[in-house]
Amino acid sequence: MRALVVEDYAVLRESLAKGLRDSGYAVDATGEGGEGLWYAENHPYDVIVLDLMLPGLGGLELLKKLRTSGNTTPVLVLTARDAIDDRVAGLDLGADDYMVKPFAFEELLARLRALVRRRYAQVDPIVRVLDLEIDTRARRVRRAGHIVALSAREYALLEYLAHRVGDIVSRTELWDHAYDEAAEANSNVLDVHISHLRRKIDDGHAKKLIHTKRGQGYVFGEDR
Amino acid sequence: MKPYSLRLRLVALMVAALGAALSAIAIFLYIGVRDAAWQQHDDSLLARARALSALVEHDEDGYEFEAPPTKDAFIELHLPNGKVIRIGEELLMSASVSRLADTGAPARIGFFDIELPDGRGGRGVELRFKPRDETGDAQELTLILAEGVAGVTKSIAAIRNLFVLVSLLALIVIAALVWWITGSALRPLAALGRSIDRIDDKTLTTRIPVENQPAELVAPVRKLNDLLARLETSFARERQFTADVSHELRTPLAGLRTVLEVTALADRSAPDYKHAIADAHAIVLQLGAIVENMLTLARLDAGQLPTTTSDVNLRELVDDCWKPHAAAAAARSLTFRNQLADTTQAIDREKLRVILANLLANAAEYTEAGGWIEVNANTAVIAVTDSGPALPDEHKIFDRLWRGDTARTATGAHCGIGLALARSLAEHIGLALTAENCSDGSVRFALQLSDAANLRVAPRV
Repeated sequence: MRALVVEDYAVLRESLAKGLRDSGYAVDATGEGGEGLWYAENHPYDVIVLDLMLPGLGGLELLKKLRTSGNTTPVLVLTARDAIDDRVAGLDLGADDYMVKPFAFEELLARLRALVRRRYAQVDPIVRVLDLEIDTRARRVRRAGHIVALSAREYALLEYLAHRVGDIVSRTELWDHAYDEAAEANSNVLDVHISHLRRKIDDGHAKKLIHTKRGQGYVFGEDR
Repeated sequence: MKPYSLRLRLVALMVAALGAALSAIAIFLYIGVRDAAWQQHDDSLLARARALSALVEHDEDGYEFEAPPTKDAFIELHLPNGKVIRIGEELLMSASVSRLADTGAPARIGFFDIELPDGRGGRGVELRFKPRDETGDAQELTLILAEGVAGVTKSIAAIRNLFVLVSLLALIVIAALVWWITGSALRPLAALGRSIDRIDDKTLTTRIPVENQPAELVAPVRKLNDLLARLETSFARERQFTADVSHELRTPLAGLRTVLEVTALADRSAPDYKHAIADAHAIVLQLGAIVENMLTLARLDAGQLPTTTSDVNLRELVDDCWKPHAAAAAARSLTFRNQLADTTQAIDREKLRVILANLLANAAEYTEAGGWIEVNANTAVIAVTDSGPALPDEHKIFDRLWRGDTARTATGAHCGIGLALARSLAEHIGLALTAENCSDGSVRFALQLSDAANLRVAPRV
C-alpha cells in the first residue's frame, strides 16, 4: 500500500515516514501543502495522512481541492487542535478520519489499515485466498498453515495483489502502489520481487496463486 | 433577605397617596353635603315658624294664637307677660329664649340643638316677631318651634356610609388598576431580566436590543452590552490562548511520541538510535523553551518578576544571544552584523537577554534565505533590523500566539509567544518595543526608552 504524508513539522514527518515504511507502506512525504496536492493528484495513493496546519496551501484547502477534483483517496487528518469545529470542518470537507496530536503510532497504523480495507471493500483484517492467509495487522502470511517470511517489499506487493484478488493488476499499478518516489524506477526490480514472492508463496503448492497475463500484468487467486 | 418588590412598593405608595387624596375629597364632600342638609332643614323649620307666627293676632282681647294641629312638633309662644302658649310638651328651653333676649341684638332668629322631651334629638328655631295687630300696641313675641331630626340625621348617616363605601370601592379599584399599570410598566424590566437570564458563558455573543427599550433602560442596557462585549472578547482570548497553547505543545509532543514509538517498532542500528535520541532531545529542549517562555509570561502577568539592574555590555550580550542561531542562519546564508559599541549600560541583564533572544530567533527564522540581520543603536537603545520580508501586521505580531503565517507550526522556541513576551518584558524594564516595516523593505524591531517611544508605540491589543 502506498501512503502520502503531508506534515510540515520535519521531525514528525520523517519519523512518520520511517514508521510507515517499516510497517510495509511505500511512503512519499512532503512538508508543503502545494507539493502535497501535486503528489496526491499525480499518484494513486491508498491513503493520505494530512496535517491541517501547513505553510502555503493549508490542509483544509488541500483537502477541498482534492475532493473537488474527484479524488477519492482516503484521507486521515492530523490536527493539533481538538476543538470540535476543526474536526467537523475536516470531516465535512471529505476527510475519512482524524487524529488529534499527540497520537499513538499503533493507533494511526490501525486507522490507516481500516481506511485501506474500506477502500478495497475488505471487511476482515485477515485476507484469505485459498489456503493463503494474510494478517494485515501483524503483517504475517501463512500458506497452508505455515508461516511464510516475506521482505517488506514482497509483503507490500502481496498485500496489494490480495486486495485486488481476481482482477488483472498491471505492472504500472503494482509499481504505483508498492513503491514510493524514492524507489528507483526499474522494471527489473519489480520482476525480481515478484519472482521472489512466487517462490515463497507458490513453490511446493499444487495450486498457484500468482499468474502472469502476458502483456497485461498479474492476476492473483485461483486460476480459472 | 427577600428582596423587596418594586411593584408592590409602587402599588403601596400609589394606593396610600391616592387613598389619602380620595379620603380628603370624600370628607370635604361629606361635610358640604351635611351642612347643606342642615341648612335646608333649618330653612324649612324657619319657614314653618314664620307661617306659625303669621297665625298670631293681637286685638283688644290680647294675643290670639290659633295653631293648627301639629304632629311631631313642639311649639311655644312666649307672650310679653311671661305667659307661654304651648302646643305639645314643655320644651324647657327658657335658657335659649333668655339668651336671645339678653343679647338685645338685632338678631331675631336663632337656631339650636335640643333634646326633645321624649328624649329624641331635635332642632329648634326661635323667632322674634310682631304679630298682626289691630290695636297698634302689640309687643314683640317669641315663637319657638322644635322638632325631631331623626330623618335628617338618618339621611346624613346614609350619605356618610355611601361615601365610605364608595371610597373603599374606589381604593380597591385603584389598587387593582395600579397593580396592572405598574405590571405593564415594569414589563420591559421583567423582559430584560429574562434576556439576561438566558445569557451564560456560551451565549456571550448575545446583545440585548436597545431599540425596543424604554428610555430609562437604554443607558443600563447599553452598559450591559458593553460589558458583554468585553466579557466576550476576554473569554474568546482566553479560549484562543488555551487552544493555541495546547496546539503549540501538542505538535512537538506528537513529534516526540512518534519518534519514540517508531524507533521502538523494531530493533534498530546504533546510528538509528543515536539519530532518534538526538531528535527527541531537540524536541525536549524546544518544549522546555516553550514552557519557560510561557511561565515567564505568566509570572510577568502576575507581577512576580523583580528587576535587577547591573552594568551590561550590550555588544557582548547580543553576540551571546546570537550564538544558538548562528549555525542555522549560516545554513540559510543569512549575514549577521553586530554594530553596537563596546560600552556598558545599566539595565536588567536577564530580561534584556530574553528579549534579544526572542528578537534574534524571530529574525533568524523569518528572514528570507540570503538576507541580512543587523543589530545597531540608531535612534534606539537597541534595534534589530533584518532584510525582510515585511511583517504582515506591525501591531498584531505582539499578540500572544499570533503568527504572520497562520499555517506555521512550532518550529522554534519562540513559538508565537516570543514577541509578546519580549514586549511585556521590555515594558517591565522601562523600554518600549516597536516593530516597523521600513520603506526599503527591511523590518526593524526597536527597543527605546519608554518616554521617548510613547508616541510611536502601537496601542496594546
